[in-house]
Amino acid sequence: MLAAIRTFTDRVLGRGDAAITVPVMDGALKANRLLDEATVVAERAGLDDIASDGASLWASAGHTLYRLQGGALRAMRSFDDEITAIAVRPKGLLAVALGGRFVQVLRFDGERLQDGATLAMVGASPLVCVNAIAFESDDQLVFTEGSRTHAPKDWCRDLMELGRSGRVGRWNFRSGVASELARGLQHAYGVGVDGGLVRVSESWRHRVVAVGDAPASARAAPFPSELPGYPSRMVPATGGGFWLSCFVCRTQLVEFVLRERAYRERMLAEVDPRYWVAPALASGQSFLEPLQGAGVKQMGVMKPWAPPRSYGLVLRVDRTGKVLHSLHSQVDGRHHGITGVAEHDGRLFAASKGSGRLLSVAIPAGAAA
Amino acid sequence: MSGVSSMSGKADVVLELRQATKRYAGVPAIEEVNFTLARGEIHALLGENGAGKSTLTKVMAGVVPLSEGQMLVQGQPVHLRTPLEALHTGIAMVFQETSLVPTMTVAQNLYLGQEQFFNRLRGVYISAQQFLQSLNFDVDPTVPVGLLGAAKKQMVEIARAVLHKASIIIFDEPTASLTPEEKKYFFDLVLSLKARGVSVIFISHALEEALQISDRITVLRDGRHVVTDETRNFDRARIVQAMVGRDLSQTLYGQRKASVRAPGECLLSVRNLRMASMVKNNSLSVFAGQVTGVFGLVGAGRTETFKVVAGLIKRDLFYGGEVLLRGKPVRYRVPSQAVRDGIAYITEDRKLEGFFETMSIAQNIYMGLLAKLGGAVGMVSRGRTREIGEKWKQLLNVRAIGKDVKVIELSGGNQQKVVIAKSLVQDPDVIIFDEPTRGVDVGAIAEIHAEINRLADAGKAVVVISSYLPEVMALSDRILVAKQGKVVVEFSGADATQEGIMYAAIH
Repeated sequence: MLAAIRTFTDRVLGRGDAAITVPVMDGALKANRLLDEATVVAERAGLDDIASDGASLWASAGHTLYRLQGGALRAMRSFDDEITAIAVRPKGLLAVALGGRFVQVLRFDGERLQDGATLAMVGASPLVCVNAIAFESDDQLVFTEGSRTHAPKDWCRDLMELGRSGRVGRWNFRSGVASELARGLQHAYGVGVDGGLVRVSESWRHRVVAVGDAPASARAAPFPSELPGYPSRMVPATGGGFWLSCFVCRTQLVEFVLRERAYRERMLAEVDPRYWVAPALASGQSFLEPLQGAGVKQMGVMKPWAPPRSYGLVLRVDRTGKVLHSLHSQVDGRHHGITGVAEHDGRLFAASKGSGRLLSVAIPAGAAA
Repeated sequence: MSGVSSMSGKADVVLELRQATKRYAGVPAIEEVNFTLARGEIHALLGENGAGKSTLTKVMAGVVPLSEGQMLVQGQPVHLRTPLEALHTGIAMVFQETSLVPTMTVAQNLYLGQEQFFNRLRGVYISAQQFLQSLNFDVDPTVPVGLLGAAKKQMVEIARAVLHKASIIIFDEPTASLTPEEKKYFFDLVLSLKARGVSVIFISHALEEALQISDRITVLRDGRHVVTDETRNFDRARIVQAMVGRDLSQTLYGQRKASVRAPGECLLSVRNLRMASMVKNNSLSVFAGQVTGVFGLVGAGRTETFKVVAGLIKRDLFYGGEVLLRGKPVRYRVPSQAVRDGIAYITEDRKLEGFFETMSIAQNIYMGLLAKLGGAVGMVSRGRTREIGEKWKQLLNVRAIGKDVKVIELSGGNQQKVVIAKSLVQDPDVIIFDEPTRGVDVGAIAEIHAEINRLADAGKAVVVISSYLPEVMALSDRILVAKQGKVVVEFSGADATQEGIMYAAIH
């Protein structure tokens, strides 16, 4: 009863959960143009995930798996379904998620890819939305599923429906045993393994959490939370900690929309998804898009007045969960919708799904742990 | 200690002190000071806190008599025993804290002490209006003084001095509580007084003001006269050297920081804060182990933002935003809740909000501790009060004549140290300094700056709100610039420039 009264007063006064505030981007999160100024290595429509095995950088775009060779992306194989996640391990071990419905292991002998085991169900429930994979060992991997009802490409609908059906799975592809490590997550999107610890991005709650059977001491370690963006895939960083991509950023307007159930339901039912008042991987491509009005001049620079629908953000997080550094593509930039990051050949690579560009940037000095 | 004194002619001298000495309980506050004031001259009196400026001016204004030496007005020896006698001699003093009665109107304050047996209020107002207009002062005589801003209060004080036909007006820190715009207005007033042949003695810690407005400068140190010279022969470095006996200019406001401290945990986060028209959707973070400088012009909403954080004022009732301490939302109804959570706000107005003026240093510091402990303290222990007071006096080098001296009797710098000690005794994690060196002498500024740096080195999250750009740059690891109610840009202490910060604050 008291909780109900509090919820009501919070809604009336705009407090608590109804405060509709977003974390400020300052300190280590201070905006810069590092992603906008990054070298564009390659351009592929639908570029989604990247991974490094130490020798090569792998990338997925649409149905095709690529490898970076001689400074250009070379198509290695096409699949019937769209690739929704990739992971690689030295010694020629790869894993791909296909259409969000399968996880397949592949062997790479230097030139050819050979099919390995495939996973389609965990327990009695089929896979629907596999969006990130990480190897735990040479015969075991973990993966995240954003939703039990929506495919990876429908992430925005899951957000607008306040989806909380994400889960994390573990699969031993030698024994064929698959198990569920966690369920009921608000869009699990991105997984990292550090020793015995499995870290997962819980996107709609803007945080990274530990799941599984890690020791209590490891799980007690702080993780980044209350992030200004929706976290997604992560990879280990040299010196400890990890790189974390945020594929879209939070705005007060979207936070407000997420509180207005009737509005969202009607928007979902009646409006073309491209024009929802919702975050997007890219924006400014059509005059029909919402939130384009006006501008304000600040410090001699014309800044968009409208809240940004899309943004580019990569975070460097240390072992203690503290954000050390960040790379941005601001509202007026182009390299938005960063869905994958990887450290390779002493540089940081980022996949900008919003622009379809593979970016390369020198690892910033402030990003050392 | 030989002073250089230059005067155009003895006939112009309206006030002179010869070998003036004043002792309190045998301790000299000023010793063998020679001072001259010419007709129509603006004479700046400078020195560290405790240098004897206030004592010297109190002697001139008849507040305290001389122990030894002589005072001459218009060439005639005088022995002033009361301020009223001084006023009748043509000397008026405008104190740092205005001596006006806030509940009375401007006109009533002007004519206070000169009331007729039957006072016609309308007549008083008309007379006051005419008089104020003759001075070209834009003040409504019917308005209660309590509703006026600091600058207008100063105007009323000046008007009252002129009304009493004062030919010598002494200003003690007149600009300490004025905004830059008000200061400009005040300087115009002083220049108009000068044009009327009024002589002005001007005490200020803002050396630039003295250099800007005065004709001559006298510097005192440790109660003794150091130098008197025409203003054009001074620069900031020479004044500071004369005041402290050593060159502090680089120590105080050297160039920007060569290296900045790395941020620690984000202790305080303000999100989309709103407070009336002063704070508009303001967002910022404060990190442990760093000094976060907050710069902005007056009215930028800096003080108000942090007063909301510390529970001194409340944010908007509807959609007022959030304040998060260590990631958890907090909303303080009263400041003591913030104090218990480890937030200390050190006010910009120490006299009004900073200390209990009739209590001793130790009692004031102990009051700070009581605020932290709240109901946990059943009884106040005198011994413990003294012990804590003594400890913090040592730590912050608070200088006072006696142990039980009241805080109001201390110099501005020492008062500020007491206010700081009163907060630091609470062992806070987030310390917000609002204009920490306003009205404080250069020696104390260096000590306060050192304390701020020590706190940041100890891992505390320190916020320094300052309108003085060199101070912000010298102290801050990161600089937030506020404009029109919110932070508009952030600079790293290592790459900030004065031009960049000022541009952000204005454009």
